[in-house]
Amino acid sequence: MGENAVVVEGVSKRFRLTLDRPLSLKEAWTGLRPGSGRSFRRVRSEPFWALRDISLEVPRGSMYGLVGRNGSGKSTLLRVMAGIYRPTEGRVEANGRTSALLELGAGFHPALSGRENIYLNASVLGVPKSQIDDRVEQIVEFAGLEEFIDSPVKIYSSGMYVRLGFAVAVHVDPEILIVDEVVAVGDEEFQLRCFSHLESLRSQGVTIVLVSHDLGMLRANCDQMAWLNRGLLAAVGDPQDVVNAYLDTIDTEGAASVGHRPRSDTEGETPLRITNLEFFDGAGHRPKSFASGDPLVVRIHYSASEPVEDPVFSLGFYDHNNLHLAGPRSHVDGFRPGKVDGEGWVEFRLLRIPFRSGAFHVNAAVQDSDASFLYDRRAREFWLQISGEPDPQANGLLNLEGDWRAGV
Amino acid sequence: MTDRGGVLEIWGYRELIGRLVQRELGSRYKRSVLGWLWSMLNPAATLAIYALVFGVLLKFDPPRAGNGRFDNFALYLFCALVMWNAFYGVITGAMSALLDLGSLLGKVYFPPEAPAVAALLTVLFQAAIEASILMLILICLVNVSWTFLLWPVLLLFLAIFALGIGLVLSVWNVRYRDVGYLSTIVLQFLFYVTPIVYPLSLIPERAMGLPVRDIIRLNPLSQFTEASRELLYGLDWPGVLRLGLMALISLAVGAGGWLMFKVRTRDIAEEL
Repeated sequence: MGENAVVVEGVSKRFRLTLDRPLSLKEAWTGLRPGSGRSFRRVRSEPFWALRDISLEVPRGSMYGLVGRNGSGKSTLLRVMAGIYRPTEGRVEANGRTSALLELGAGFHPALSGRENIYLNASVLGVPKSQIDDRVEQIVEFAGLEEFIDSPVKIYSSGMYVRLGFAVAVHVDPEILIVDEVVAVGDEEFQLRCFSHLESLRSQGVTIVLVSHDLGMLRANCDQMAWLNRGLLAAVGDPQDVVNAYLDTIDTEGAASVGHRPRSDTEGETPLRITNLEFFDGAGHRPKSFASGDPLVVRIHYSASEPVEDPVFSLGFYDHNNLHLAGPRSHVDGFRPGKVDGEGWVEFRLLRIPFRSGAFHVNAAVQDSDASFLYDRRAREFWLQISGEPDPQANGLLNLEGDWRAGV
Repeated sequence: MTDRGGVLEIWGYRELIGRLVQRELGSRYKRSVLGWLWSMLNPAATLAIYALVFGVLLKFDPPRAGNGRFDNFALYLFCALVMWNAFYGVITGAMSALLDLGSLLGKVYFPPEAPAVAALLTVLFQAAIEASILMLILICLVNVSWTFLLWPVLLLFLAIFALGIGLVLSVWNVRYRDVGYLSTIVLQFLFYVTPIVYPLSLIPERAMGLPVRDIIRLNPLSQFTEASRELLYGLDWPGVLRLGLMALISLAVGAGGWLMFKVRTRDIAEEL
């Protein structure tokens, strides 16, 4: 047993696209399949490389995040790690009992009841019956399925499936837990419980490999991350770096279509730089996280190497999925800083934070007085953490402070 | 992972196999009034039909029983039918079990032979019930000898033999569903070219210019059904040579089938 729970070495995975797979003995025998019209063409399989030369190490007891777009090979990699797929090339070593939650209802048999499936799943994972007997009630309670546990799982809703699958997967004492993005199917309250449970499992030394599109959550919780892009490992290591690198490509690809200049353009000589961004609460402190509805002050520190007349400062608020939520700009709001020179700061004050809980990143930019030339821009370096239990009654990203009236 | 793909691994998943067997047995006669009785009524009915058609109507003549005091076509038939039922059950069970549980293989790892092994155990359980009834009747007729003790060994050989074939067919069936349909026909043919509903002596030495009796005798399945009759009905033992030959054949077929299955199932999670 080494330091690493999972070692992936030079793994490639090739699929044969099943479109051309011969489906009957006759076709297999003759190797022919009726094509269009009168001609026949050879049945051949197109190779498709879902993973190419992936190497990574998941340290024991860590939480490891995987990001990537749909179809980038994340799920295939998880399956290879879980031993379900055999790598075409390379080697995978998993040191410890692996429990995987890869799809809705990890490995449920639709005709069996929830309870029977708990036992079936546990036995698939090699957990003795006696051990599960003690856990069944815990699992049922965690999944919140007391009323339905003796009904066949085919009548379950997708949320019930996921809850039961997750509950089983985490209650069988795995040493390595592999979780695909399925958890996202559950409601917010269940997701919170899942993550707090994952957190407690990790503190017990369980290694967790996680796929999610929730970049804020991954960034906040993972020890290491990897980004898969079209089957290739695009970045691996520190979560902050990986998330930034991942968002950068989305940004550049997205920006290219809109005509924005990517961030790297401002690297070089510029008379005015943004040196830092700070978040203060109403009392002038800098807390680690803010509560929704609190006052917020964003201070933009700058450094000018020559005098600049009336620069335009702007901020951009984004959620963890890079959705642009707000973009206050100083000249639009009627603020003119006058001539700036040397070091200084400008502040943007917010009476009440409208964002509900989560991680938000704040970009800052500075332009010349008619906002035609970009001096400097800092993107995705500064994260604003809004904490607090989200009100289960409310939903959406923002609190809109409106009021309701009735009329006839 | 320890010893992935070895025989020991299957032992490591005995909990799963036990659960599958339990599930198969438990769900088998669900929602039927007679429930478990069906596991005896079913073979009894089959036996009655064959006995009526071949013994009463066609008047196939059974040899005298080992104790020399009676002859009974139904019992003579039953001795072979138990073997056939086990063979048929293992093969069809292995095929349907892999299709049935295959979807799980894409979500969790377990040895792909586990469903077939579970099917095998289920069938052995059924065979044990049938054989017990048969032996009980024979004991009541005072047709009993130490050769009864050899019978479970014979059943074991047959099970290994059938499992080897069942594993290969089950994995082919995943890829080409034709195999399932085709094997039904082949099994039906096999049933009639094996001495089950008739004594081997009824087959002419030669027909259509072929030594048909020898051909049927050489069918490995005939060896099992004939040996079963000898042990239970004739109270005779087949001899070391024939028993050894059956052991050899069953082990060869079992191991060959298992190896082929191993190679074929390396990527089975992608195909199901």
